[in-house]
Amino acid sequence: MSRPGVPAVGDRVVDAVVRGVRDDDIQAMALVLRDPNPIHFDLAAVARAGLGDRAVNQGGSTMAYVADHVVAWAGGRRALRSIDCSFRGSVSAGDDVEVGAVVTSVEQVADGAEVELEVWADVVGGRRAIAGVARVVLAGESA
Amino acid sequence: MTIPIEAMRDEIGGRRLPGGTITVEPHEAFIADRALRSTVEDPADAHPTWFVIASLRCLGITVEELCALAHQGPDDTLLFGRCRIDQREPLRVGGTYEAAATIREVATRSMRDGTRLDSVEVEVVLHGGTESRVEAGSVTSVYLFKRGDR
Repeated sequence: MSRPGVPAVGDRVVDAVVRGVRDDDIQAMALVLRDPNPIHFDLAAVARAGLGDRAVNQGGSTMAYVADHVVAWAGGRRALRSIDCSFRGSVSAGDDVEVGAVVTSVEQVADGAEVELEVWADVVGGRRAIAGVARVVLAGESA
Repeated sequence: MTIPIEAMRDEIGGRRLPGGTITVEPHEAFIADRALRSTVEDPADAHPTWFVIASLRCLGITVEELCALAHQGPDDTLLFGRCRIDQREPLRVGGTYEAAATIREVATRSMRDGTRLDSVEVEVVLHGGTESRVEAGSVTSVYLFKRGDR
């Protein structure tokens, strides 16, 4: 996996779209998470909860899209130090999700350059689903 | 009637939950990578979301039992408010981890429409993956209880 050079504050380093969240994937994650909440697989329960007519993606899964694109940019999963997200809106099956990250600070640490990022996930054509902050270390780089 | 926040704080703030153990099974890591549309191919280091998976699977109580601890009423709505992963080391595919779970902060605030919104913060710390049983990281989750009776 290629590693990025050290970015500058204000650089947008992640700009990606996850196309068409799939029912099958939401159901697979319900099993992996041991998540019994029926809004992820039972459309009658979704309707009863007033959440529309499509299965609702797990908040952790939408957060995972963000984490994945951040570590892909940073050179791998080992680069992640932290990610802190607040959940502001739901993502449903069929939605496209735009994932973004902008550099807010760069500091030298013992093992490289630590980069702080403002991160988010938006439903394309809809509202913000997730907003947060991530920190990664670009190993061996100088700030 | 919703429990007063001071009483709930005294009752569950700082409470240690049973915790648990999780193994990042290779087949589940493979399935999760695809379900999460991972763009990173790494057969050794697990997707960071495995911290979240571990935090849900290793509380030692069910989400329903957590709701009961927060005195969730029939008109209250549970929301997942916030999640923070602190990763010291990626979880290893095939690795086994012990989880210690603790209820940290219990707080409340009022929404614009006057609805009471209580929050319960749960921290899960993971150790293991190697023989040295070092801390791999932690997950802090904030569960929100939107109270139906103001």
